Amino acid sequence: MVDVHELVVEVPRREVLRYMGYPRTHSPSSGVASRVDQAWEQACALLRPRGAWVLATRADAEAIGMPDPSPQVAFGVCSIGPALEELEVQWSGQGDVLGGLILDAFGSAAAEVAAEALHARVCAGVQPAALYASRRLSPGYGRWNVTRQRELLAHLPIDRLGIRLTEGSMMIPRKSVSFAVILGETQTRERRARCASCELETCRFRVDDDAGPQEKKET
Amino acid sequence: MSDLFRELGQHLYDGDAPGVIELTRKAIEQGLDAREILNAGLLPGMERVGRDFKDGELFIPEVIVAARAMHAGIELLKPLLARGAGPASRKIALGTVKGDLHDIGKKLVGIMMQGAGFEVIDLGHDVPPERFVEVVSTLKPDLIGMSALLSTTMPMMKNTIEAIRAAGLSGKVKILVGGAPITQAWADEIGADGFAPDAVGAVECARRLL
Repeated sequence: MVDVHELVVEVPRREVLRYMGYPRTHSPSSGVASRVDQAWEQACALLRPRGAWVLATRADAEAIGMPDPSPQVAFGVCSIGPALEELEVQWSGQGDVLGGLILDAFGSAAAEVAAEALHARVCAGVQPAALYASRRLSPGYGRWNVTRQRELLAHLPIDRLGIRLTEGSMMIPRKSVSFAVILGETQTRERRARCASCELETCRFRVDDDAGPQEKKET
Repeated sequence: MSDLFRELGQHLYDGDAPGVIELTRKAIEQGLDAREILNAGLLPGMERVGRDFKDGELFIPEVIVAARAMHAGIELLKPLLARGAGPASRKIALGTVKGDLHDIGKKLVGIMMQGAGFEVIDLGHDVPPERFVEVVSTLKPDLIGMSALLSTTMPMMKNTIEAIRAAGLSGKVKILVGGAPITQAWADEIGADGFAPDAVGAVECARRLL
């Protein structure tokens, strides 16, 4: 049986603000910042980030439309649970659109952090086999059609995670992330931000302290 | 008088709803015409908000707060405006299309539309074409706003427009579409009257269409 993991998620405030529409160069007004502060503790208490991942073969990956799979791949899915979205619906329904926006942004940021945490587990899980995990690929991005979502999720214990899929291939809870990663025998450095949760020294996502400024700032 | 309107506009820009309510009441008590309070006080404040949003000086949360303040002021003026000879406010029905459960973007459009003085009917999310048709024929909105956030639910916009046409209602209502995957090209392809990339753009587009 595939393990379901409880994931540790610390939501970065800057990411929540980014999802609310603020570029890094701008901060919210004092009124908006105060609303974010008020919602924060409640939002944190409503998170239940959990996820699962499995190893799969190239044939499995090709069967679900994953672009350019390697001989071995991993599939993963995680969610932050339904409670935050329920409060968002409640607040928005009461006309508190700003509160709803804050919770929506918080949920998006939390789901991304949860996906990073699950991805770190994949990296750690395949390391004993001397495999390196690529960055995450998700249905709906690039050449991977979102309609293949159902086939990807068929490999994962979504019932135990409380995730379901709509006819339009939308995951419920909405703040859920599904992905696949390529597993390779050689490490290729990918240009992306410093990994916040992974402690693995050989992770291909690691950005060394002496890495150039260009590499550090990319996401 | 102009100082009062300037102050009213500033409170609105700052999203200070209690301040907007207080000054709108003060203007009414002074016997100022409701339409003048709207046109010289509230609307210029909201237009400044829209300009600064476009210029990247303000962001969606501040726009929401300002729109709420605007709405609070309009609520006070509504009974007075209704007594006047001016045109009735335009009615807009908003919904996220069938199969799509996203709501927050459509709600943002709703609050901006209310802030701009439109009467908004929020149909919610997962709205089937037949519900849009029913609303057009019974509530007679001037404009329908459809939202979709998924490439898999976008085609439902086309289905909805076709259903409105099939019901013989296409000339009775303007149709505006928006959402993350939506483009002007898609709006043209499905025969929508307008496309907006964001909530502020939706208000501008609605004003243009009506």
